[in-house]
Order: sequence, then C-alpha cells, then structure tokens
Amino acid sequence: MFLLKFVWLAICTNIKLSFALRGAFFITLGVTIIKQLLFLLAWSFFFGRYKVVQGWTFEHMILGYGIVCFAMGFIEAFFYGIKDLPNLIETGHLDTFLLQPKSIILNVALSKGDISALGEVAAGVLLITYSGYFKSDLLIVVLLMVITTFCMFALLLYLSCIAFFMRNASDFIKELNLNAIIVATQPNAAYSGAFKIFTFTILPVAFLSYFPVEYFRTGLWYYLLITLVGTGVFFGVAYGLFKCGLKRYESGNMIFTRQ
Amino acid sequence: MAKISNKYWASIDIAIRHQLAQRGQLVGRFFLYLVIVYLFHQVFNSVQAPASRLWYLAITEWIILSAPPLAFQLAEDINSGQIAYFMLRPMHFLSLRLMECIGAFTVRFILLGVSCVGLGIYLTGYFPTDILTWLIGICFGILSVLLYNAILILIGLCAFWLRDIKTLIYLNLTATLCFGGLIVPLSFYSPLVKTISFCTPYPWILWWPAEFMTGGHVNVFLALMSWGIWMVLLWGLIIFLYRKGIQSFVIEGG
Repeated sequence: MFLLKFVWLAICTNIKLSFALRGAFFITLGVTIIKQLLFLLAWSFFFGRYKVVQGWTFEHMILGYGIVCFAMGFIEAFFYGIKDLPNLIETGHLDTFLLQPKSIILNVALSKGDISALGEVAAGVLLITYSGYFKSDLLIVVLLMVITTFCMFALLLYLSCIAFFMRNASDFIKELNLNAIIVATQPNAAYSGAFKIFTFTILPVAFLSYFPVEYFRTGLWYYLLITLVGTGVFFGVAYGLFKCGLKRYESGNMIFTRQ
Repeated sequence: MAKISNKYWASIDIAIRHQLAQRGQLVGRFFLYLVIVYLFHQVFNSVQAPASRLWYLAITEWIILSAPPLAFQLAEDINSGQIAYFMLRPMHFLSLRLMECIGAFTVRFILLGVSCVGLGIYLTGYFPTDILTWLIGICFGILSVLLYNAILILIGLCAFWLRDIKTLIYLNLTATLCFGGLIVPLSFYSPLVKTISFCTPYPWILWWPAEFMTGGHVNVFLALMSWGIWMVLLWGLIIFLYRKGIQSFVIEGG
C-alpha cells in the first residue's frame, strides 16, 4: 500500500513539474507525433516497393512500432530515472537512494519523469489503432501493452547494470539503449541465424515486438505465452543483475541534497 | 592570422584527443553502426533487394553516425549559462564549438568509414564503384556533414528561447531519415513526397553522396549549387539568431 502511494505521489509530482512549462509541453507533444509519422512514411515507401518482409506487412510493422513506442513513451514519461542509473552509479550519486527505506529501483526510476514523452504514448496508441487490432482484440492488445512496458523497463534496467561492471560506461550504455530500440523497431521477422538468437537472449528485444506481432499474425497462443513468460524471466534476470551489481558498488562518499 | 588559425587547429586537435580518449563511446558507436548495417542486410536479403541497396544504407549511416551531438552541446552551454564564460575568451563561441565538432567528427568519420568499406565488402562481396568516385564521394560526404552541422547549430541556438530542444533534435533526425532517404533512396518515393524532400536541405546531406558513391545518377552541379544555397541560408539564419539570442540572454546566478 505504501509502495503504491509512493508511486502515485512521485508520478503526480513529475506531472506537476512538466506542466509548469505548458507551452513547451504541447509543442513537444505535437512534434513527437509528427516525428513518428515521418518515420513511418519512409517505411511505407519501403513496403510499397517490397510489400512483405518474411510474412510481415506494413500493418504488422506499424503494430510492432506502436507497441514499442507506447512502452518507451510510458517509461520515459514516468520512470525516466532508470535511464539515468548508469550516471548515478558512475558518479556515486546512488548513495542517496540506498539510504532511503524504499525500493531502490523504483525510487531511482521515479526520481525523474519527462511528461513530454506522452507524445510517444499518444503516437503508440494512434499507430496501434491504425493497425486495426484495437477493434478486433482490444483486451489482448491492452495486455500486451502492459507486458511490453514491463519488458522495456527490464531492458533499460538490464543495460544500465553494465555500469556496475564497467568503468565510464554511461556513453556506451546510451548507445546500447539506442541499439536496442533500433533493433526492436525494424521488421523483426527478417532476422535470422545467430542474430535472431541474439535478440532472444543477450539483447531480448524479441519480447518487445517480435513475439507480440507474431501472435497477431499467426493467432497462436504460444507466442502470447512466450511474451508473458519471457518478460517475467527477463525481469528476474535484470533484477538479479542489479542486486549482483549493487554488491560491487562503491560509495562516492558524497554529501549533497537531492533537488 | 597564423595565431588565429593556430587556436582553431588546437581546438580540433584537443577534440580529436578527447574523442579518442572516450573509447566507450567510440566502441558503442561502432557497434551501433555494425548492428544497423547487419540488421538491414538481413531485411534487404529477405526481400531480395539488390546489393547496392545495402551499400547505399551503409554510406548514409556512415555519414549520419559520424556527426557529433553539436545541438545538445550548444543547448547545454546556453541552459547552464556556460556560454557567458565563453564570451570572455578570445575565440568566437560558435567557431570554437564547430571546430570541436569537426575534431570529433574526424575520428568518427575515419572509424566508421573503414567499418563501412570492410562491412560492405564482407556482406555484399563487391565494391560499388571505382576508387576515384569514392574519393570524390567522400569529399561530398564531408560537405554534407558540414550542412548537417549547420542545421544542428540552428537547433542548438533555439535553446535561447526553448529550454528543451530534445524533441527538435529527434524531429530533425526523423526528417533526415524521411526526406534525406536514410533507409531507402528517394527514387522509391512518390512524386509528391520526392518533390517535398528536394525542397528541404536533407537530400543534400544523405541522398546525394550515397547515390553518387553507389554509382547512381546524380547531377553534381545541381547538388553543389543546392548545397551552397542551403549553407548560405542556414548560416545567415544562424548568425541572425545568435545575435538575437545573445542580446536576449539573461544569466541566472554566477
């Protein structure tokens, strides 16, 4: 109960902070939607020429992109702090969070929010609606949006944990985050061989877009189950890695106030 | 005169050393390039696209990933008030940042250029044109990054009025992808979108050098003229906005 109240209050504070600059917020919202539409415009010409990529049509691509867009937007809007974790580890600023009687991961994640990322959420919802699956499978789509948001959180936590084991890794992790999103938002069905295995294991972005889209493409429950179980396992791995890394963490001995 | 050029050379030199010292970032960028090109190799293979498509993408990605995040740097200087301290130095703020950017770009451009050639030959088994065409193409690539930097400076200067320019940067990236033909050449586009694209500076950043280096038909005179016009327009706007920005700039604290 305490945890839920904490999450709610942290989110409310972030929303208030973002709405302080209302004009900039609405401009950002509009620009984000235009940005996503431009991205898809370029892809539409690709699909216009080649029609199908290993069974995936443009609609499947839109669905996959919409799901990732929603998950990314949601995390950036309310849990942006998780992207800042490598920096906190590197500078020793994690101390502040370790001293508080709250869940460390959640506290770090909620320490920052970027409500302008709601534009990504809106774009994600628009794209999923455009793909037509909201009408036919509303409940499953909503369930998958929730699962993939958890998966995105796990992915960012997993990549951020590299900072515990590697010095000066924040730039490298930023690039890795970008890599992961790029790999997740292309037509995943085209991946084959070792690269496909890589997206199932070391960089498990397949749970973000490949399996959800495959479920809608084939209608096989097997893919939905893999998405659910895979995300759960991945979350566990990311959490384990964080706990393991925390044991290696060296305090910065810094005394400062969090603003 | 010699002193002036010396201080700018020194800025480039420092930026090159600084970029070489940031190994994590360089390795990350190299992996990013590797992953993107390999990923599209698989996508293009699955639709039986000609090998020249992969070369085109490898070149466009090479150019775009070589550009350092100049806009973020400028925005940080403006938002943090650091720009005020640069005013006291005997160097023009924008020139200094541009020189630093050129230094970082040099390292990235060489690293990714070698990766482009190696990866392209490994994945496609051939080299798209002759060496001379490539050398000229590389010069066009360098010119195109200068144009891209002008856009980034313009976006960075917007931080005088908008505190957060992140969205503008991402919009610029997507516009580069869409109107510059990052993934597919502009010849794939519908006539309307193609016309719109050619009215923007983006084809002269990506499409022009990549199409030239893969042996496609490019009107070099028209391309150079368009590049020149956009450079004059953008730099005129940059100087105007910079002056306006400095006049309206208010530093908080010390």
